[in-house]
Amino acid sequence: MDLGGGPASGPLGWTAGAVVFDWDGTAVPDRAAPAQAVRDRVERLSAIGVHTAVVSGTHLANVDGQLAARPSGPGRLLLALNRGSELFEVGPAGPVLLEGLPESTDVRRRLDDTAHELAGLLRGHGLQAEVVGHRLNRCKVDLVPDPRWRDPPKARLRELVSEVSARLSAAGLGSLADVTDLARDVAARHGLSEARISSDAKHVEVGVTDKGDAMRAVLARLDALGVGAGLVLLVGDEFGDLAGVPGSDARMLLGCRPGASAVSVGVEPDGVPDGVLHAPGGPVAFLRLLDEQLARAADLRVPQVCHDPRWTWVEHGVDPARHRVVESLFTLGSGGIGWRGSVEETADVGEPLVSAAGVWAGPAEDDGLLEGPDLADIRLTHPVERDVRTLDLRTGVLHREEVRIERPLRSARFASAVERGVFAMRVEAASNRLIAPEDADTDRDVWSAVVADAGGIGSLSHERRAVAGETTSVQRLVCVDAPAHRSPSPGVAGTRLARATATGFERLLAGQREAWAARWQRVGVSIPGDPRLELRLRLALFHLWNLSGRRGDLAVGARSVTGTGYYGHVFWDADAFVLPALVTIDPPSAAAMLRYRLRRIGAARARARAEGRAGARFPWESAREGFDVTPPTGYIGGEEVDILTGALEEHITADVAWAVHHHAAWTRTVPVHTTRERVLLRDTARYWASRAVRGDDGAAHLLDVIGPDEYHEHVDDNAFTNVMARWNLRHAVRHAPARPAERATWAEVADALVDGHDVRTGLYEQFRGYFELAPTLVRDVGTPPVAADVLLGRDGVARSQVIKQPDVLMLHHLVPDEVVPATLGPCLDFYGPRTAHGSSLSPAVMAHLNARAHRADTAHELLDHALAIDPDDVGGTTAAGVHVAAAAGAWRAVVGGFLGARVADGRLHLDPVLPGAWPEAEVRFACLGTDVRVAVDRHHVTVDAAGPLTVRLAAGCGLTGRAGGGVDLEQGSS
Amino acid sequence: MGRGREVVAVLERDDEDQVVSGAAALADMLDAAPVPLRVGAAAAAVGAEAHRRAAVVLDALSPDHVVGAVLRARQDDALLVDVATGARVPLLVIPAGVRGTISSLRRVLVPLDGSAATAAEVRPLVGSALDAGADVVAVHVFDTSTTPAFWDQAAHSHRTWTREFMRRHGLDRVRLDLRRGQPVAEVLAEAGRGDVDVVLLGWGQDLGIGRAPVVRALLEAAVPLLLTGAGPGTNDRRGRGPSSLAPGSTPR
Repeated sequence: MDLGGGPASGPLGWTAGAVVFDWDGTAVPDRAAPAQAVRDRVERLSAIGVHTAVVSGTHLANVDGQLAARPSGPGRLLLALNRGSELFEVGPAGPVLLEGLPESTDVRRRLDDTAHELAGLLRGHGLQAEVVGHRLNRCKVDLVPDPRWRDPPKARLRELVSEVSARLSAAGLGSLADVTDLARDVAARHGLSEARISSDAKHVEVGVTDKGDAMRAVLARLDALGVGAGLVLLVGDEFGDLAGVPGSDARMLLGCRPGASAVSVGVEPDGVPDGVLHAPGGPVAFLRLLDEQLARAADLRVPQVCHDPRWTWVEHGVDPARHRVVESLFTLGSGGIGWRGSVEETADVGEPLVSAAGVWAGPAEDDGLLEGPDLADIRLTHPVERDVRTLDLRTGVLHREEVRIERPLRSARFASAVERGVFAMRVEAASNRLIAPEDADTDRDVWSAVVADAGGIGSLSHERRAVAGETTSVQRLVCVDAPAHRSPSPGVAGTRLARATATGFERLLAGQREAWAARWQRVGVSIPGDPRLELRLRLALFHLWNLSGRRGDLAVGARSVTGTGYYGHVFWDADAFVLPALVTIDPPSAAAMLRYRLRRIGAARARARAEGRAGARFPWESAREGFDVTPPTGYIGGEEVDILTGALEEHITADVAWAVHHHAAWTRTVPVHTTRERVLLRDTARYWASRAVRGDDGAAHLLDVIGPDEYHEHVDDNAFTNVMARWNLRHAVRHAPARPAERATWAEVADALVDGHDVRTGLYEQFRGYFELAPTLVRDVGTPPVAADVLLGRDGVARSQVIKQPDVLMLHHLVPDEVVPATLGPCLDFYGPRTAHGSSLSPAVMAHLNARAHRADTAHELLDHALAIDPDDVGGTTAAGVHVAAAAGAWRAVVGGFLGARVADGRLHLDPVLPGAWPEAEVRFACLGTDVRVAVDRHHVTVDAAGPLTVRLAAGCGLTGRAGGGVDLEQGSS
Repeated sequence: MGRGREVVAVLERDDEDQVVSGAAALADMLDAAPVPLRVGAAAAAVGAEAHRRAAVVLDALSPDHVVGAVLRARQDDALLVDVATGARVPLLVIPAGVRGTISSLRRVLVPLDGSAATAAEVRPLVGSALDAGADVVAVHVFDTSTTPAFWDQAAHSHRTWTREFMRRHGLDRVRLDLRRGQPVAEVLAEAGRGDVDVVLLGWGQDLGIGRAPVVRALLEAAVPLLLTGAGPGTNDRRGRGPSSLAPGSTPR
């Protein structure tokens, strides 16, 4: 096994997140030996966030009595004892049992019977063999019950093996392996078909658990702390065979998923298995390994990430054409502050950026997000030619390693999920390659700030350097203060930075791993049959999580904080896509998004007033103040056009109201609105009531608008706009503060609004006159997704039925109760072939709706499209930032589409459907104040919740429901 | 010291003022001196004679100090074909439709098909033109194979798409003009607007494939054509992964 490193960097050469070790023979020479040296190191490792675990066959009193460590954390000390039957965690107050497998009377009897029969059979062959006293869930037979061989030291292992082999041979019993086979047969006869058989040469043990089970329990615990198997250093002394029988530590390898690096410090007379490093020397060698870990921390060496393909997004090489795409994909976020994933030395082809949600350079329409101080700016004498960059989604750590070079540059960085606005970075390289800044080694904090007319971004950084051999390491801890409405403050940043520096890089990292593990425990997906989409969904969730922790209000621009695209402007994407995703991921962030709208209702009222309307009209594009900042002109391909969305794309006003409702429905068991929310509902309803006009037909109309399908402008009675306005009015009738007469007016206008529904066909007409347009299908134009307006020109596409995204179907997406039942299928059939997906939002919406129509395989294909948008840079603009609403839409397609999750009447409604590629799937999300886990396979749906939750399965759901946790499961009636 | 940089004016007749003026203009762009190379008698060569003359020209273009060449295109021009496909230096071709002498090459049009190869081929000359003070405009034509998958908001997409397109191809300092339609026709239309001194075209030096149709069409136009092939320092990476994709081209 290639463990990296070399003599200069220590025996191992990498930084472990956890050390799991055997006790007897590995950590201590015997059970009477002093263990102070181990205790000291375990406690010091714990103090820097490294977890340790002892895996041993013996019991608590033996190990804890000898080790006596009382670590105060954050690194945990686990004791997996009694050959996997018990797991303890040791804190300052001593051990606490986490898991235990009680021994039943029946099992005890079967084990004892097995041991006695085995010993009897051996004795029948003339071998001296004795049953040793019973242990928890296991029993032992001593093959050499000879005083000369009582407690033989590990140093005599070869001698012991020879002695046992000779005795077995003399008795005609064959080899030690034959005896273990015999033990297995005997155990099976006593009903222990799954018995674990092992041997340390002196004994044969029969049990119901072994070190493999212990290892599994330890790894599961470490996994919950964000430490994957690839970060585990496993140390033992008997991995290799003993006289044909796997060594007593070999089961630890079996219980360990691929990735853990194993080192044997034992004698290993027959050698070690492939992949295990042999570093003989017993406990002395073991201590050297622990000391190396402590030294690496002191030397500020770059930590490893776990290269688990289900959790890591990997980019190979330095490709100038993909460089900026990777920067966007690798953006790290904390507290609504984003740090693009530029390389540390800021390559010429890069666009490094630190930006914050809601912090703009100024109030003008083209000011864009304020660009804060660079946090990396490492200088090298020679550039990096080839590297591998790995974003570990499990822990939020971005790792980089130069390849094909003797002393590579390595880096690791993360945006703290614990300390808001804190970023940490380490870089190491050959000492003669890193150019030290002029003020290096001054051990002082450096403040840099970029200030706008209101708000700014300031960074306070603390840098340390260390030299180990010919390698220099740089560590930088930075606190970014990025307020939207005041100047950034070194004082504010200083308080948090002081806390971060006192905590230290290693402890911050341990906290980071644990915090992200907790996030994934609460919110995530497991799709074992589709690891590609699983990873892409995790990447989407990662970018959504990066928005969490923003204080005040959260203004989510079209590219979040991952790039400069779209000037950071806030569109309907935020209300109709990102917020519904965040209510299932991080409800406080969804609430912060809502505050962004609620606090800008004054600007919305002013807009309505200026246009001679009542109430409040929200802007199509908005920034700091909440006024419309839509640019007046733009280009469709190369065709310069007037931009009309700011004037005509009015549905956003209803979208904002919908977001208010959706947030309340998903986060409050009793969905009452706050006073400010009710006022917003009132003012948006007033706007629509004043905006609608009565036609000669007596119906109410909304004239001259643009729907989400922006290929058709200046249209009347756009189905999406009208139905969303109708929903807004009706919702306000029920929830907004208004006099009865005004409510009656709202109800009347709502009922009078035309919606384009044709009862004969089941279709909604997208807008008045749409059906008379040239009946062009997308396939007549190109292969979707395709920007049909770019290809056909603005006028050309406007004359056709080709649409950018399906307005009518968006109604089924957002307000399914406002459309006539059973119209989804006909509308999908009609509008699907006309949809170009010329919007990055469209594939996710169509995935969602196809799933709802139980067209799961089509939905799966569309979800694949949606999740390719940024990783594959499908639109050629990911360099300017990820399309966060497309990511949110994809997540919604999983929760709302495939699971069919809806919230109504304080209940979670489910109607799961799986595509053929997913035999099973598990989805975890937040709902109604609790964390929910939904596991679906071909026959069952299982729902667990951390708190009380009423769940109703759809009437037509053909799956058998199972409830766990606090779930009260109801079956819907037809 | 070696000889200074030279641009070779390939003269088949004595009265070829266009070629002489073109060589002076190209030399101005490339910071070189124009030198004449007389390769024949009064009439343009055909058949074996044309190939013989082409060999003479290619021999004259082989020294390192020669950085460009200029020649006039003629009907069924074997000399041009041989030189264009064999020259290791940029070649300014003056089509028959060009009238009068060439006063400068200060307004440069660069068709880009979105491939990394084309961009790599034109990049050095674009740099030279910009350094010489020329106004360089690139044109990219969207057709069914190169139209972006989506164009989210017309107010913003153009900025983000074009910026990345030019950065990806190392042409950050060049303005990009986007058009839609049939690429050859659109490039011809752009070239024929009257405000273009020269069309700078990267091509594979193979008249049978790839960008050759554009070359052939442009030889019918009334604008000088500056051809640059996969010469030293260029690296045809087309079709080798994401870097060969134009931003917005949909993998199909």
